[in-house]
Order: sequence, then C-alpha cells, then structure tokens
Amino acid sequence: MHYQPTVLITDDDHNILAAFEDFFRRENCSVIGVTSAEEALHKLESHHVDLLVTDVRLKLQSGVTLLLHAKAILPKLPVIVVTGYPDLITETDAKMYGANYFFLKPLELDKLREAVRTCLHMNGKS
Amino acid sequence: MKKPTVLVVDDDPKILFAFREVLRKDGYKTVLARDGQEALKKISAEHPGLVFMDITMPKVDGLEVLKQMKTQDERMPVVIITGYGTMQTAIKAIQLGAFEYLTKPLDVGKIRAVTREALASTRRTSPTAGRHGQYHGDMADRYELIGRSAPMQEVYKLIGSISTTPNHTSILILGESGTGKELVARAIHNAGPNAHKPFVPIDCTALPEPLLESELFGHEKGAFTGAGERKLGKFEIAQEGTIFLDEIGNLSPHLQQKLLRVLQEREFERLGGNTAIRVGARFVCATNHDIELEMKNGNFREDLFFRLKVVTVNLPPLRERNDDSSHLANYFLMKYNRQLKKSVTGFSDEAMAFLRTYPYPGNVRELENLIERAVMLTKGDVILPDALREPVLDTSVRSPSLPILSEDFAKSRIKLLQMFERQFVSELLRKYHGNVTAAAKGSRMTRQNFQRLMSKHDIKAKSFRD
Repeated sequence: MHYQPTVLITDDDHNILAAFEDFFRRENCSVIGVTSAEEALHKLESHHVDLLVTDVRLKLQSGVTLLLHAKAILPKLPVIVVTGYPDLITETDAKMYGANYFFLKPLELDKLREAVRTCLHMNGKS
Repeated sequence: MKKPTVLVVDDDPKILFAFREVLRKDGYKTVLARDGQEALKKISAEHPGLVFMDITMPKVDGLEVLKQMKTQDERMPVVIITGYGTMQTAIKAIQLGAFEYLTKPLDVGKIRAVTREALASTRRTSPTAGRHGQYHGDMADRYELIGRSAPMQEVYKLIGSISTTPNHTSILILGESGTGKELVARAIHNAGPNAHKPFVPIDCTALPEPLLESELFGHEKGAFTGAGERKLGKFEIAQEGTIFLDEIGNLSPHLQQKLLRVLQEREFERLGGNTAIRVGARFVCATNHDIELEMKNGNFREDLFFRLKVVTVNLPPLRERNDDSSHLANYFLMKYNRQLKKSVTGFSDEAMAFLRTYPYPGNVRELENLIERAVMLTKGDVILPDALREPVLDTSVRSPSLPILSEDFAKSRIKLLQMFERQFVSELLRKYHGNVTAAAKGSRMTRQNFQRLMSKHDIKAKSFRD
C-alpha cells in the first residue's frame, strides 16, 4: 500500500484550519489539526508526523516557540511557517529558526503544494 | 540494511553493560569507551552513527569531549547523559550541538526512542548553533535556576535554543509570581553571544508613568522641568545586551504604544529629541497569565502582545514540579546557613514531607522565605515542621491566596481541585503518621479511592511515617 504521510497543522483560526485540512487530504495526506502550540507539541510527542505546518501568531505559545521546540526534539522534521503578519517575522528569521518554507497569507496554493511535495520527499516518505 | 554502530561512553561499567544489552537486542552494533580520550579514538576508528555519553567522567570534561566530537564530525548525533540535571550543563550541551540531553535514571523505552530518532536524523545544524553560541564564563551562583524536574529541563533546553536567535527576536516569559522569571531572562542573556553587554532589568510597576518613560527613553537637556542634563535611557544603556521588562501587563496605554513603535522600527527618540537612535538590545518581557484577561478587557494592546511573544517561555509553578522542592529547600538551607552564619544540617523527615507536598501559592519565592525564616528560628541541628508550618498557617488565615487563574473556568477548577486533593491527602497522612487505612477511614473514603489520590499526586505514605 502507498504510504500516507501525516501532516500536523497548527492554526488558531478554525476556518483556516478546515481549509488546510481539505487541501492536505486532497494531497493524500493524513491530517492532524490543532489550534495551539501546546497541543501541537503534545501530538509531536505522541504521534509520528512527517510535516509540521504552523501559523506564527497563536494564542499562548507562538508558532516560533513551537518551531524551536519541534526542531529540538525532531531536527529532521520539515516545517512550513505561515503567517498573515509579515511584520511579526521575516522569511530570513523563520529560516534561521529552522523553517524549511515561509509563506504569507493569503496562500498561493500552487506554491504551497510544491513546497509540501518537496518537504515530504525530503523526508524520504513520499 | 546494516544497522549502524552506536558508541556508548561512560565510566560506569554497569551502565555500559546495560546499554550494550538494550542496543544489541535491537540489532545495533555497540562500541564502548570508558572515558573521553578513548571515545575520541573510537570515533575516528569506528565512525559510529550515534554517541551516548555521560558528561561527568574522569580525565577530560564531557562538554570538552562533546566539542571535540563536533569538530570531528558535526553531523554525528551525540546524546548527553547526566546524573545531575543542572541548568548550566543542559544549556551548554544544547548549545554545543548535543542532539538530546537525558538525566539519570535512564529508562529503556527512552533509550530506544532516542536511538531511533537520532539515527533517523542527519541533524540539520542551525547556522548559529555551536559557532556563535559560545559560552561566556560561569554565571554568578545567585542567578542559577534550580530544578531537575522534567518541566525545568524543557525550560533549559528552550533557553539554549533561544540564546542562538538574533537580538530582534523578542521573548515573553509567562509564569506566576515567584517562579523566577528574571532568572530565566538572565539565563537567556548569559547564554547568548552578547553576555558581556549590559543586562538591564526594569520593573514596570516600580515607577509612575512619566518617570518610567524618561527612564526607558532618556531625555535631552531641557526636555521638561527638571531635565537639567541629557540623560541616557535604558534602551540606550543596554546597547546590544538585554532589556528585561518585568510586569509588562502594567504598562500604561501611552507607553504600550511607544514600546510597540520601538519594537517595530527598532529605533526611538529621547524625550525632547529629534534624532532617531537604533535599538540593538534584545527585549525579554515577563508577565503572569493575567495579561490575557487584560487584553480581553482592552487594557493591553493585542498587537504589542504578539510582537512581544515571538518566543514564549512558560515557567511551571512549583506545585507542578514538586520533585524540585526538596532540592530547592536544601539549596536555600545552604544559602541561609551562610548568610545567617548558622549551621543547620537538614530537615526532619516530617518537615521534608511537608515541604514536598505544600502547594506553594507564592512559588519559589515563598519556599525561600519559609526556609530563611526556619533557619533563623532553628536552634538545633535540624529544621522541624513547626518552624515551617506556622508562617504558612498564619498567612492562609489572613489572606487565603487561591491560585484562581485567569484561564477558563474548567481549567481553573481542575487546578484548584488538584491542590485541594494534594493538601487534603498529605494532611490526613500526616495526622495518621502515614497509616493509609487509618487516613482513608478518617476521611470517610474507601482505601482504594484514597490510594488512587495518593498515586495521582505521587504522595508516598512512608514519608509520613515517624
């Protein structure tokens, strides 16, 4: 059977989360959607995850905190950072914190799709 | 596929044996070394895919060996093991590029999991880690964070990661009062490449607004009545160091707006001045969780909040890391013996049992005050429970400080309930000298239910036996 990669998505906006979930299901991924960095960390510790997609602006801990934590426990995990607030974090910053890709909202789905495929391929699982 | 070789470095033959057994069962080839020098030789000879190393070994210091390993092969994952989970070693190990940091006692499941993770990764080293993240001398003892519990280990690791980020990455430290937020700020500062630059702490509640404003921004000569000379503000004084703003939730709307601009533009003007001055310092701010309530009520700007918390450090309250309380108690005992020129040697078992189970609404600061007072009062060798209990009972009569947090109702209720359960069970056990059956009977609970509560809160009957 074909391997179905798991994507963990963190966004505190339920509508965006739902849209992400649709997008990744069409990409043949199994999806775990959470609304906080705390939940995301918990999932990372308890589930196998092939790709992490996170918003920067989250309620309690920020997406960057999540990114730093995630990279500390799973250095090889590909991470895509998404934000609607370009003044909060720059692409250079995101990459320095360990992100593989950085996208601004509203998302260009073609670019996201390409990035996702590269990430999953990089992880050797697609 | 051929399984990779794992090198295990430890001066304890029992540990080496245990590792070899676990790893052999999983099909790995193991190579063993008794000290750092031997380890470095084995690395050049065997090229292992992963190294487990105890950091406290004879001959060469483990951290020094780690450094040399990383110069030999930067991508090889090295897992550090230690018997003493202190903040210094954890931060330093992560900075030097350790893959993971484990504290003894080790469990087999954890060894297996880490082995899998580490071997699955060809570590992508961040561009700054290890190179710019050098360590600048030993931090003064008084600024050390104390605690070996798992939640604190997480905090140390995060401090290590943060210290390699650039200064424009702002940090927000969240924690109840007395958890040591300033210590975390200092640790971030001291672990970073700009540790030799100033660390400038400011308590936002200590000064009225106009004074605080001129304190932060500085002023030109004649900017306002009484401004006789030009004065540099804290933003300037900090240079490329760290500005620590404590109790940020209390900042006035006017200053919130000004601070937001400073963070956005990374520049500001002195009061009464026109020249824009660059800000090179890192902003580390601290608040208790009330800030979210303040935001909901419109007293704190949301845009500033998100700007401040690019990275958040959550400091656990002491009641959630009860393992640390005995450790902290001994640390403060030493400190106040020295300060008060006393020679109290320790705590009676009952006093220690009390310290382990008391919920500490005032966190580490409260524990420190308790110990200071007890050391002062104790005439004999050991601290007895009465010396600790009195002030606690006193304050709880005067002001019952319940940790009702500004979270949602359900969460607050659970927290409060847990505190109640813990205190209830410990006090009964204390009353019945550790006799579980009697304590359960006294509380009119079944023995099973009572024991369930004991194990839920990790309370041991034997600590209450005389």
